[in-house]
Amino acid sequence: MLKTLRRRLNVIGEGTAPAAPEASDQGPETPALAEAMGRAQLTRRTFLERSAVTAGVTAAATASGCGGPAWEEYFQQHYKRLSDEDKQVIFARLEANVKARHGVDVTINDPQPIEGVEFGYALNVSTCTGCRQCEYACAEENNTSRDPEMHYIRVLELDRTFNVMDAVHDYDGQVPRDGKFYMPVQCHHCENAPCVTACPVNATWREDDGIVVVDYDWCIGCRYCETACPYDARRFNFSEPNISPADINPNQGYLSNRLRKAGVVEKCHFCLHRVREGLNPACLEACPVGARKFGNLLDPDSELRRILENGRIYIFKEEQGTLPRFFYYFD
Amino acid sequence: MRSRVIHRFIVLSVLLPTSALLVLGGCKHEQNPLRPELREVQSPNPGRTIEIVSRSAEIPDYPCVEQCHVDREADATPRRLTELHTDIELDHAEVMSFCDTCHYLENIDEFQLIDGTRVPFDESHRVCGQCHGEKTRDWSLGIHGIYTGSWQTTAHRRSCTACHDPHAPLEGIHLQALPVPADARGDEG
Amino acid sequence: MRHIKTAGELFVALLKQLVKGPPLYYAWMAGLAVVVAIGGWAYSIQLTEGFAVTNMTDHVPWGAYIANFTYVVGLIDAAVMLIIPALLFDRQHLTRLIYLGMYLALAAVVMALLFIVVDIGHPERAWHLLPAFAGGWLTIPHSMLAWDVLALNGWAVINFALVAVFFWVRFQGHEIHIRRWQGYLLAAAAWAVVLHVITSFLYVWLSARPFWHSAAHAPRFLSSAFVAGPSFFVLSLWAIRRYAGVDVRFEAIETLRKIIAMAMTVNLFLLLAEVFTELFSTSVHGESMEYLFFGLHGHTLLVPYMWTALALNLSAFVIFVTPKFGRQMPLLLLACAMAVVGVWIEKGMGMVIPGFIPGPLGQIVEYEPSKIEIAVSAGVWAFGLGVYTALVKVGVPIAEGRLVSKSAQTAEESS
Repeated sequence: MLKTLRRRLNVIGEGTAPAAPEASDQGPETPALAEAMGRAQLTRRTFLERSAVTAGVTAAATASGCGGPAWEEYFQQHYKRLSDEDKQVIFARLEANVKARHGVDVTINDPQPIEGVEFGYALNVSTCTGCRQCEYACAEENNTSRDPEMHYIRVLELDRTFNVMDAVHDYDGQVPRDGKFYMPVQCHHCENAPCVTACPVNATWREDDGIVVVDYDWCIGCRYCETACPYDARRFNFSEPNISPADINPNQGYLSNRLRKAGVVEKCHFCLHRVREGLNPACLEACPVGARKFGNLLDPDSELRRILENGRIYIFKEEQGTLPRFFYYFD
Repeated sequence: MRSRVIHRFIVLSVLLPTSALLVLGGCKHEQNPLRPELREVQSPNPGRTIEIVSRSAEIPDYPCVEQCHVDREADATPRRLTELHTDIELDHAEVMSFCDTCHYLENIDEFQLIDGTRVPFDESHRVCGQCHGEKTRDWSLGIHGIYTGSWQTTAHRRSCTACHDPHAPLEGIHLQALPVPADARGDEG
Repeated sequence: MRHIKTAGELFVALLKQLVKGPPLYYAWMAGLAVVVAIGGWAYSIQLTEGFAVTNMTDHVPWGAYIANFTYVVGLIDAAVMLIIPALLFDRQHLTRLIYLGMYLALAAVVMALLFIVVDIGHPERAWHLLPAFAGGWLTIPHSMLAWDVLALNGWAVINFALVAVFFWVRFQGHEIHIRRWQGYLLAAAAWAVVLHVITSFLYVWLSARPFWHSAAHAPRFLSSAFVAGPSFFVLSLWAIRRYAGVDVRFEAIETLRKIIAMAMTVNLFLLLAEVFTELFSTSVHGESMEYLFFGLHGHTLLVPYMWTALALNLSAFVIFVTPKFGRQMPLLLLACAMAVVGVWIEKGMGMVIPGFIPGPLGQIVEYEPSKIEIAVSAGVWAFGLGVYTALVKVGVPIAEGRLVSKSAQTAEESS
C-alpha cells in the first residue's frame, strides 16, 4: 500500500534538485518524492524550532531596550523622494538595525525597473495540485512573519463550478482531490489597482514594470487598501512580525522582502528583488508541477505571451475592471 | 421671499463646486492613466536560452549499459517482470507492447522512435511527442511543463519523464499538501 | 493689545466656569474621566502589543473603531439639521438652539478624529497625511479616504472657528445678528452634508465589497444620520434644559420630531429597498445581507443585533410618526434613545462588518469587538461626551450673556 503511494508520489520532478534531506530510504528513481516529503517534514519541524527561537529573540530585543525610534526614522521621507545618498544612509541604518536586533548580516538592495519590461504571471489551473509549496516558499523568501503566521498566497480548492464563494481554504492531506481544481491567489498587480487608488498617503503605487509595491516606512496602517482589494491579497501586521535569525533571507529589497514592523501593510511583490535581477519569483521556482509561468509581457517571444496568445485564459474577477497582471489559464 | 431665493443660491453655490471636485476625485485620472495595449518591442533579452535539465543524471542506475546491461540482453518478450525492474507495471497505451516500444534494446541508454530513429535518453519529449503532439507543442512553447531558472536569460526546462511516469502515467501526480496556514484554519466557502 | 487682554480674560473665565459646578456635574465628569482613563490604558496596550489585541483580522480589517467613526460623523449632521430648517424655513425657536448643535458637532468631530487615530497602525506617521507641499503626500484627488481626511479636518476647523467666534462675540457683550451669520452657517451646513456623503463614498466605490457598492448607500447614510443626530440632540436637550436651565420650547422639539419622523421614513424605505434588491435575487452579492439578517452557513453572530436594531427602529418610528405619542416627552425620549441605539447598531456593526463577510475569496470570518476595542471605543465616547458637557457648561452662560468680559459688564451697568 505504502509502496503504491510512494510510486504515485514518485512522478514529481522539480526544477532545482537539491539533495533530499530526510527521506533517504526512497527507491532509486525518486528524487521528487524525497523532496516533496522532505520539504513538508522540514516545514513542520522548523515550525516547532521557530516558536522556541522566536520567544528567545523577542525576549532579547525587549531586554536590549531598543528605545524609541530615532528622529530620522520618524521623519524619513517617501521612497520616491529619496536621493541616492539618502537611500544609502537609510539602507545602512536598516542593515545595522537587523544586525543589532537579530544578529544577522543582511544586504538591502534597491533594484530598479528594467526598461522595456512589464512583468506578468500566468498560472495553469489544470496542473496546479494545491500542494501549497509556493505558499511556504514565498514565506521563506520574503521574510514574512512566522508567528503570527503570514502568507501572501492563498490556495483555494474549487469544484468544477469554479465558484470562488464555495472555495475550501483549509483542505489537507493528499492533493489533488478528485474533481477539484486548485487556484492559488496572490497579488494580481493590477493596472487599475484599487488599493493604490485607496491609499490616502501614496504608500503603495505601481512601478514602471507593473509591480505594485509598498513603502513600509510610509504606510500609516489604515488598512483601506485591504478593504479595497478584490483578491484579498494584502496583509496587515497585527503584531510585531517574528522570524528566527536562522530563517531570515539576507538578500533583501527595500520595496520587497526587508523585515517589516507591526502596523504596516504588506503583500506579494513578485519577488521584486529577484525578478529585477532576471530570476524567477520564489513561488515559481518552488512549484513542483510547473503550473507557474512568469515573464515579460512586452516581449513577444516570451513564454508568457505565447500562453496569453494561445492558451485559454481566465481573468479572476474580470468584471472588477482592475486589469490584473496575473492570469489563470487551462491547458 | 427674495431672501429665501438667496439662501438657496448660497447652498447651491457651495454644493455644486464641491460635487464638481468630488466628480474630479472620483475619476482618478491622474494616477491611473490607461496604458496602451501591449507594445511590440525588441526583446530586451536576446540572450534567452533554454536548457533541458538532464533526466539521466537523476537516475542512479544510469548509464544502464555500464551498470547492468553490459552483459545482460534486454528481453523484449511481453511478460510480467518478476526478477528485476519489478516496480514497473506497464499501464500505458495499448500500442506500447513492451520495453522496445520506446527503449532501444541494442543500446538501452537510448530511446527509439516508432520509425527506428534513435533518441538520446534526455530527449524523452521526442518519444512522447509521437502520440502526444499537442502537449509536446505546448511544452515546447513553454505553456506546459516546468520552466525554472531565469525569465530573462537561461531557463531550465524539465522533460516529460521528470514528472510523468511513462510506464503508468494514469496514476497521476499526487502530493501531500503542506499544512493549512494559520489564518485559513476554519475558513470555508 | 486690548484683544490679547480680552482673550486672556475669556480663557480665565472659561476655566473658572469649567471647574465650578454642582456635585452632579463633578460626578458626571469624574465618571467620564474614569472611562477615558480605562480607554487610554486599553489604547496603550494596543500601542505596545499591536492590533493583535483587537479582534480585527486580515479578513475583517475594519471593526468597532470605523463603525463608531461612521456613526459619529452622522452626529455632526445633527447640527446641520438645525441650521437648514432654522434658517431656510425661518424657524425662530430652532435658530436659538443652533449654538448647542454646534457644540455637539464639535464634540462629534473630536470623537471622529480620535476614532481614526486609534484605528491606524502608525498614528505617529499621521504627518504623512499632510498635503504634498507640506512634506506629506495626501493623495487628493484619487483617494476617497484622503478626501475624507480633508473634509473632516476642514469641518473641525470650521466648527471650531464658528464656536470660537461665537464665544468671542458674546463674551464682549455683542449681540449675534443671525442675518450676518447665516451665510457662514449655511456654508458650514453644506460642508457637513458633503462630509457625510464623502464618508459614505469611502465605502460605496469599493466594487470589491458588493454589500457597500450600492447607490442607495449615500442617501441611507444621510437619512440615518438625520435620525440619529437629532435624536441624540433631543436627548441632550432634555438634559440641558434640566441641568443647564436652557429654555427649550415645545415647538423646537416638535420640529425636530417631524424631521426625525421624515428622515426615519426615508431611512426605513431605503433599507427595505436595499434588503429587497439584495435578498430577492439569488445573486451571490446578496450573501452579505443574508449573513446580516439570517446568518450564512451557520454563522449568525450579527443576526440578533440586527433584528434588535430593526425592532428598535420600528418602535421608535411608530412613536415619531404618531403625534399622539410623539408629543409626550417621556415617550419621545424613549423613542430617541431607541433610534440612537438602533441606528448605532444598523450603521455601525451592521454596515461595516457585513461588507467583509463573506470575504472576496468566499471565506467567512466573523467579528465582534474585543475587550480592548470596547474599552477604547468607550473611552473615545466618554471623551466626546466630556467635550460636549464642557462646551455646554461654558457655552450656555456665554450664549445667554451671563458670562461677559469686565468692560462689557461696566458698559452694561453704565447704560
